[in-house]
Formats: sequence, C-alpha cells, structure tokens
Amino acid sequence: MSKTALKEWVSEVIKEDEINCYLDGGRDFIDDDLIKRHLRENRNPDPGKIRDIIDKSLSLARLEPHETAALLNVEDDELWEEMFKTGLEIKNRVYGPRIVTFAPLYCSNLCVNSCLYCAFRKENTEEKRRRLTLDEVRRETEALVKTGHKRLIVVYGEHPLSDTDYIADTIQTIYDTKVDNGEIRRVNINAAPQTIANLKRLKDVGIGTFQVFQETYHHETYKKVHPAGTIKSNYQWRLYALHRAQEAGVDDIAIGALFGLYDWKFEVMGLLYHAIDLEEKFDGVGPHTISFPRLEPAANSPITINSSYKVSGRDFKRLVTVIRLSVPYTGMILTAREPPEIRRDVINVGCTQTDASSRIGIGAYSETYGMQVSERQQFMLGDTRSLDEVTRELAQMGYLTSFCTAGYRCGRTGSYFMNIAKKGKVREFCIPNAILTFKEYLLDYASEETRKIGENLIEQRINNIPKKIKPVLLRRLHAIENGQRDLRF
Amino acid sequence: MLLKMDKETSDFDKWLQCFGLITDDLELVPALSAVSKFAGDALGLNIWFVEILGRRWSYIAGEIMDQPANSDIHRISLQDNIGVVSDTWEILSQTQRDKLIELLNKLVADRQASRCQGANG
Repeated sequence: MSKTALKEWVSEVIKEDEINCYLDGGRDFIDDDLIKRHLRENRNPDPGKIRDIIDKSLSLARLEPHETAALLNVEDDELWEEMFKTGLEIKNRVYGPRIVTFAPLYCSNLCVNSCLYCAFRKENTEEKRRRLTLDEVRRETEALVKTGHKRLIVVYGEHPLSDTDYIADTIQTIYDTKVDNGEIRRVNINAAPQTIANLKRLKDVGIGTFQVFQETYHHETYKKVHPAGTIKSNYQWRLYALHRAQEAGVDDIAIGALFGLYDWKFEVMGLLYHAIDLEEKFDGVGPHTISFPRLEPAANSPITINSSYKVSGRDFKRLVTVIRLSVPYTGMILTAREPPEIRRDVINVGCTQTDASSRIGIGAYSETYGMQVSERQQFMLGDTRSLDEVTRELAQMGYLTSFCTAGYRCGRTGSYFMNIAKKGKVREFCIPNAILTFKEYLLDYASEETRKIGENLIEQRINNIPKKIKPVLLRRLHAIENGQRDLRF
Repeated sequence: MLLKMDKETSDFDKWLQCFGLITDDLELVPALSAVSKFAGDALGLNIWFVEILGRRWSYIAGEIMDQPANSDIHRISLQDNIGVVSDTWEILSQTQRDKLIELLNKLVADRQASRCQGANG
C-alpha cells in the first residue's frame, strides 16, 4: 500500500460526529481535576467509613467515586486484608468458585500508530510484520482447539490490511474451524475503535465481547504516549469506542487500562467513571469485563522499562481489589502478562477470567519457533504454562475451570446478563455450566493427573448444587460421559 | 386427564387472544416484551427473544430468568434473524408450539413490513 493511500485511510477513520454526540457540554466524562480532588479529599479514611463501604460492596452495589477514592487511600494492612477477603467473597456471590479460561490469538501486528509502550508501533523497524492469511488463522485455531480452548480473544493492530472486513473474515474462519469434538464457541475481539457502521458488521458475524482499553485515562499522559497525528492520539475517539459498540447493538463490552503509564489510583478512578457513564447512557449496562494489564517490557520501547509509574506487586493486588469492590457485577480478567506467583495470589481477590497456554507472537501456536520472540510480539508474557497446568493448579485451589459460552448462545447477553449479575444470580447458571464444560475438558483434553484432581473437585461442587437442578445436572454429566457435548443450562 | 387437557387448552387459547391485544403500532421490542410477560403470567411459560447473529443469540426482549430451569433450553429461529428461547418449552404440546411459532412469525413479519413501508414512505 502506498504512503499516500495509507495516509488517506488514516485520515478517514475518525468520525467526529460519533464522538460529539456523547459529549456533555463539549466535555468527556473524565474530569482529571475532579478525580484528583476525590483522591485528595478522601485521604486517611476512617476505618469505620471503610467498613461501611465494604458492606456496600458486599450488597453488590456499585460504588460512587468518593467511596472508591477512600478505598484507594487505605494504608492500614489489616483493612487491606479485609478488603482482599471481601473481593473474593463478592466474586463468589456473583459468579461462584469458577474461573473462565480463554486464549489470545494475535492475527496481525501491522499498525499505523506510534504508541510509545508498544512493540507494534510503526517506528519499530525491528518488529517482524505479518498478517495471518485465513488459512493460517484456521491452523492457529486448530492448534488452540486441540488444547481444549473454547473461547478466544482475537487481537489486531490498527491498519487498513486488518480492517473491519479482515476482522469479520477471521472471526468467521475461527467459528467454522472444527477438530473432532472441539470448536471455538465464543470469539471476543480486541481491536481499534470502530465506527458504528463497522461495529454493526462485526455484530452481524457474532462477536462475543468487544474490548477496547483506554490505556490511560489521564488526558495529559495519553497525549504524551500517543504522538500527535496518529489515529490513537484522539483520546475521545477511543474513550467512546464502547459507547458506539453499544449503539451498534454489540451489548457485551470490555474496558481496561494499561497500568504503569500514570498513577494507578487515578486509572482505577478512570475505569470507575467509564463504567458509570456506560451505565448511565445505556440503561444500566456497564462493562461485561474490566482488564488491568500492567506495563511489560516491549521491544524497543524504553518507557516500558523506565516509567516512573510502574506498579509494584503489592499495589497491583490492591488495585485489582478496589476494582472488584467498586464494580461488583463485572467480570475481571487477570492475564498471562503476570508471572504465576502473582496470578496465584491475585486471582484470590476476585478475578473471574484468565488465559492459559498463551502465545502472542503472530502464528505462534501452529509454527515451530521458540515460545517467545520479542520481535514478533507486542510485549513479553510472564506465564507461558499450558492450559493443562493452569487448569490443574486452579482445581487444586478449589476453582472450576469454566469453558462456558452458554449465555451468549441463549440470549443471556447485555441487559439480561447485567440484570442477573447485579442481583448475584448469574452464579446459579455459572456453576452448573462450569461443571459441565470442565467435565468435557477433563474427558477430551486433560492429562491423567489433572483429570483425577478435576473429577474430585466436580464431586465436591455437585454437593452444593440446588436440589431443583441437581438431577438434571447429573443426567447431563452422564450424557457427557457417553459422548454428548455442548450441554448447558 | 381430559379435564386437565381441556383446562390447559383453554388457558393457552385465552393466552393466544393476547396477540390480538397487541396493537399494530407497537414496535417489535415492546410487542415481544408483552408476549413474554403474558406467557409467564398466564401459562408459566418462560420465553425471551433474541437477535440471531451467527453463533451469538443476543437478547432483545422478554422476561429475565434468574434461576436455571430443570429442563432443556430450547432455541427456535423465527424469521428475520429473530429467535425465541425457552426453558419451559415442554409445557406446550406440539400443536401449541406450532401455533405459537406461527403467531410469533406473523408478529415479526408485520412489524418488519411496516418498518419497510415507513422507510419507503
């Protein structure tokens, strides 16, 4: 593609009217000064006040900004311990003792942007650029299906060669790929912000969740790390990406921030304001999930090493906890960016989803090159353990690994999902569906050791299933043992 | 048994009359919401409606069930990519199911037709 054609494509992506319609008096919903004021005015919070806020979280009510600011300012270790426990309690009340598992699939690292923290940025000439063909997408999918995965998050750089048409074609290819009993049943995507018209096209091919991370909510930092003249330098185009998704009918949406670009407390407040604005504008429907990746080393991206805002392990656990307490209904994704010891610890403050056997190089699942090659990937992973290992460890911790995709295939999406999640009722579906899909996994893909541990856990969890559906669950488990697949509540 | 059948038939027929109460000017989503509400109240039939997008069955209208049912989930495609989902489908006889699907298809078709006419006008 010629430089002129590329420039022309870039100039046509952003539709100002699809930003302006959401602004309030010309302003977006992130008021930097107000966030700082909340953080300032809620310093040294009274323990009694904190315990009242914890009680509110336990009632599954979403917190207000001043309450979240107070939690972020807690210094007392004992109070933090209470908050960690509460995080897990909230997660169990809403979703139950299960962790949904997925894998990332990177389709293209072509990119027109220049984000200082990302190895995909166009100035990084050492990055080996590549876009998977549809045949390669099929081979990558087959490799993932053979490990037992049922859900993917598919990732694309922003480029005319990985535009909406390409995204739609790759999703269709993934859905069409089958290997024996296996198939991908839900394809979520992480892609650049789209216009409403393009989002409608993605909706029509049946995407699961549409995920766009703001990276940083702090306006000035956003400007610094996203150089002017690029598409991504437009803060508000990105900020309203998920409003447009909702407008287009993509009703499961996912927000996130890249922790380490600016003050972590500010970013948590930004995520909360994002959730509030979505709820206010779309009939109570907030984010389906929240992600909280930490800045990781990326090839030729010095900021990933030198940032003065890098988040320590201690603060990471705290920020995840405060997000859990602030938005009790949302799913929370802890990724393989984090090393195993951090994942083991932080998953226990209320995370609901994690990835396993992850490779983020383009073509990395089906090709034979080494596990991690910095010139082929966006950043370096902290945990490359197999799905079998992760699943076994989760089972040893008492968590059912869930491959459930039921909600999205029987209409429990958008406001339906929000309604039952906010009431803490989604667990009624999550636990039996986790048991059924975990059973499938154990029979079809698990090692002998994992199967043994997993079967024991299933036995324990069945004991807590309500009497009304227990006989049906047992019948379905029996049917799975006899070869049936994809059974669900 | 015969009496029970008669009663069921009678309840179902009464419920079907609800379709006649849904005025033509009611748009698709409120019309489907009304059908779902009547079905739950009158028959104990849980139904909700979706837009079918490939594998995704995306919620658009109807009563929200916050407990799993002890029976299978049935997914039925109507026309124009609209679907109906039920977790109590077995309470209807086959004849009743056929009649219900026929009426739902008509309800969807009428609204899509009036939308097209509106667009042309």
